Formats: sequence, structure tokens, C-alpha cells
Amino acid sequence: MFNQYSMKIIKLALMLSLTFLLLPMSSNAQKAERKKERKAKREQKKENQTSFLVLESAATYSNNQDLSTSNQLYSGAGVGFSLGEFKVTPKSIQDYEILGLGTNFISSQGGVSGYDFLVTMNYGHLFILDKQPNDWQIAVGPKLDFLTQVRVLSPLGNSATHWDGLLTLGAATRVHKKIELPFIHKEVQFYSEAHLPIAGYINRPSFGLPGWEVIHQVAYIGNLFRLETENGIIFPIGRHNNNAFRINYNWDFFRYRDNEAYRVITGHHALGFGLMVRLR
Amino acid sequence: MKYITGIILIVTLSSCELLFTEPQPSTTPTAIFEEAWTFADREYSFFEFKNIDWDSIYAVYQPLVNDEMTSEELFKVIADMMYELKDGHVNLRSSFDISRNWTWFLDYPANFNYDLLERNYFKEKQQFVGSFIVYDFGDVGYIRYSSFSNTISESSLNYILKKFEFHRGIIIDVRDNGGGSIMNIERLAERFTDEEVLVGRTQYKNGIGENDFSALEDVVLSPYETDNDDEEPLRFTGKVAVLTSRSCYSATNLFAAYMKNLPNVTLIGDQTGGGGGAPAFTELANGWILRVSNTATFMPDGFNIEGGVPVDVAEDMDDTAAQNGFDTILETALFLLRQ
Repeated sequence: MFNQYSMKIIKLALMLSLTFLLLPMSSNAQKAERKKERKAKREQKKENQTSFLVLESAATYSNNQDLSTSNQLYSGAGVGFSLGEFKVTPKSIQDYEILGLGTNFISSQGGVSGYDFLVTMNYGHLFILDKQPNDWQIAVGPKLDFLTQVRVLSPLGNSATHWDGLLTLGAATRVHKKIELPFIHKEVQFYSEAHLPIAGYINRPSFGLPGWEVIHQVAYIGNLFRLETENGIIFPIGRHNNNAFRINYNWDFFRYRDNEAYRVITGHHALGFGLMVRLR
Repeated sequence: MKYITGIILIVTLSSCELLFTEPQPSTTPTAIFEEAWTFADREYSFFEFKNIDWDSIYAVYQPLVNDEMTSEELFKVIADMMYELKDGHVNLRSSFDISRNWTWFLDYPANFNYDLLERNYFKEKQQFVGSFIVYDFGDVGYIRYSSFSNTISESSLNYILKKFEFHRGIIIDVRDNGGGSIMNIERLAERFTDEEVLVGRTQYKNGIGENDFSALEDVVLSPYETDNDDEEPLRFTGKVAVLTSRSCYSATNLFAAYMKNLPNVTLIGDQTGGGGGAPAFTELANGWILRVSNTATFMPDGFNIEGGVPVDVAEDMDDTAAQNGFDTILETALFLLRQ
């Protein structure tokens, strides 16, 4: 009944049917395989990742000079706190941090006194450069940063409150090195980071009474200059303890020029003692 | 690595913003005088309006300063120089005195006597409603507000306006009110209009040049509204008399300017003392605080209120009438509102 030609057709139809049936199964299998591979990579990445939660309290000191209000330099001490997470992989360092500090300051002649508050939030993703000599590790990369600082000098009435609000994108460089401390023979990690915003958005009072006219504009290095440095040492807590503590010194410098007559220059120092809780 | 170490050291050791700050001003008398004069030169908003040549005034007072003078002597020289600005918002504050120019009310009759009101009108029948003293004349309501620094609460004004809802008129007595918070101006004025009214224009110094001012900005008074849509906002749009005197300064001056633009309001008494500029402050190198007017406010027709807001009906308190227990300014207001 079935001639040779019909048999060929049937065989072809069967082959095509099987192909269409098996192809998705094969595709699904490939997808599952790829998914498995990705998961394995992620697990691998997590295994190679060291992550710390950082909680820190700090003694702070600030110097502020806002020439739109006074030629006086206002200085004083205070306290600060920071919270952040620090992740290190073989190729990168990611960190984000929220820092808040307040100081009670007074003019250099001991006249008007007031309060200074600063809050910064930043996120950095730095890429570790190839192996460096003598076990130094250098990482560079972008950093996004938000800063708000408010100065309140109540005796100055309408001119009492000044603020600087800043959102910037810049570059950061970090160096690490493990060193063994003499006498106690403990290996500690020394680090130093500098962060330089390149451009950003600024919001602050302009000439005259704060609030009457507000500068809100994009600013670049030139009119706007900000430099943040961080230097510290990380100590392991114990031989069998994955956690660590660190001594960290942070310096945050800000300068903005509105016009030739009026500039604001601020500097905040924070010497902090922090606990680094290992998360991974 | 030496380079990296060097960079780290430089970064660490230079973490001192003091390298970038302006040098601290000297505290010698001549330096303090210069600082005070320069601050006023850059910030003061009424040189042209008052026809003041600030450079000439420098030439008069600077030779009086020397580095051997005492703080009190220096204070007197700077105070005398600032006196030339004829501005109640210009003050130099030290630990031992505050400089001032009060000629804007001292050279004129007081035109207010609370004791006369207490003894001959209120006779202990006034009410103390929040920051207001309230008295009911039967057909006319009386509200005394003595300082714009005193809080104005919504509930107080609601009570008062409900009380005087059907009265022929309301008297708002702000004589001898030296000013205070500008926030309270709108809280009070907005109760006496049913529609938005342009009440003035303002500008402020935005540069160090004598004529560096911002563009004029409209000041619009909007009628009082409640947060609750079901509640009818309590306003009074009947006849209103605002009593003023030369002691009305700063925020009170501004209040008078706002109210003068409302069609149902009559200003009675003596023109206000002025003070149309909000002051900017600085701390001088020796810790003294100096403030000078930094803004300017105008009526919608361009009239600068720094010199005071003229009244619609000029009236002084008659001394003889006062001795007989009559406040002639108040009596004029009652007469006009009852017409």
C-alpha cells in the first residue's frame, strides 16, 4: 500500500516531528545548564567575596568659614557616627557609607557660637589594579556622593542658617597593605583612600540673606572643590574571630566660590573607632 | 611604592583646611572699623533711597579711629557712623551696649497710651485671647496686637472673628508695635480679604555693588483658607480701621502696607515709623554683631515703605482730650466705622 515514495515522506515527517519535539527540550536543557552555570559562578563569586558591616563612632572637629556671613573662622568639636558595608572581591572593592556628625563651634574670638551638622552618603565601586610590588593593593574607580552640611549661628538672626547641599560624581583611589606590627606580631591592614568629586549639583544660599536667593546649579572643579580622605588601620579581633575593628581618620574638605567676595570653606575631621562585622 | 607613600603622606599631612581659609581679620580698632564700614557698604540696601554718600561718611569717621583707643571709644565712633544711616534696623551689638537710631519715633508724638485705654475704655472688661487683647464696643470690635513676635493662633482669630462677625467694623490697634516675625503678618492680614490682592513688591541685595539688586518680586496676600473643606474659613470683610503710630516699625510697618491695599481698610493715626528692609547680620573680628538692612519693600505703586506708610486719616492724640480720658485716634476710628 505504501510505496517507496510514501515511505520517504512518512520518514521525513517523523524526523521533522521528532526534531520539533526534541528541539525545545534540548533548548530547555541548555537554558537549565546555563542557569546552573550562572548560579555556580555567583556562588563562586560569593565564596571569593569578603563583606563587612561597619559601625563606627567618632570624635569630630570642624573648621568653617562662610564669607557670605562673616570673615570669622568658626571651630569646634563634636561627635559622629557612621554605618556602612564594605565588600571586597579579587577584582573589586565596593563600599557604601552613611556618616553623620555634629559639632558645637565658636568664632575664633570666642564670640558667636553655634552648631554645625554634616551628613554624607556615598557609594564607590573601585577596581583593583593588577598585582603590585610588596603586597600593595591599589584600586581606582568612580564614587557617587551626597553631602549636606548645615551651620546654625542663632545670634546672627536672619543670617543664622547656612547650608550646602551637594550631589557629585567623582573618582576615588584606595591603597591597601597588610603589615605585621612589631612586638605584638599581629598582621593588620593599612588603607588610605582619596575621593575627588569631578562634577555635581550644588544647592546653597547665594549673596545676602540665606533663603532669599538660592544657588542651584551644576558645578565643576574650579568653583567647586571637595576632597575626602580616609586613612586607617584594620585590626583582627582574635585569631578565631572573623570580625575586626578599625581606627579610621576621615577628612572632608569643601570649598565653593560664589563670587570673588564670597566663598565658603569647610573642613571636617573625624577620628573613629569602628567595629567591622564580617557578613561573608 | 615610594611615590605612593609620598602621596599618602602629603594627603594625610595636608588634611588641614586652614591652609585654604582666608586669614583671620585683625582685631585692631582700625581693622574693626574697616570691617564694619565694608559690611555696610556691601550689604546695605538704602544708600540711594536715603541719598547717603557712604564714602564721604567714611572720610569723616575713619580719621577718628586709632589703634590706641578703647573698645568703648571705638564702639562710639562706629555707632555714630551707623547712626548716619537713620535706620532702626542698623545696630551694632557689643557686650556693653547696642547702637541705635530711634529718631523715627522719638522725634514724634507717642500717640498711644495703654493706661488710658485700660482705665477709661476697657475698665477690666477686655478679654485676653491668645496674644490679643479684645474689647467689644457693642457694634464695633477692638483688637489690640502689641508685638508681631507674639504667636498668632488660628483658634484665637477664629474666636475673635466669630465674636465680631456681625459688627459694623473692627479696629486693629497696632500702635506702639515695634515689629517681630513677618510670618505673623500674613496670618493676621489674610483674615480681612476674600480675594488675592497684590500688596507689595520686594527686592534684595544680590551683589556687592551699591545698585546690585534682584528683580522685584510680587507679594500677594491670599485669603485665609482652612485645611478642612467642610469648614467655612472665618474672615471679616466689613469695615476695618488699623490704628498706627510712629512706633510702628519693621513687621508692623509691613502689616500696615499690606492692609492699606485692602479696599475695606482705613489707616488712622500717624504714619508708621518705617523699616522696610530685612537686616543681614555679621560677626566682626572682635565678636561684636552688626546688622544692616539688606532688602527693600515697595507698595504696588512703587512707593518705598522704608520711610513709613502714610495713613488715610491723619490724627494725633489730643493731650487735653487724653487728660479727660479720651483717645482721639480711637474715637476717630469709632466714628468712621459707625458711619
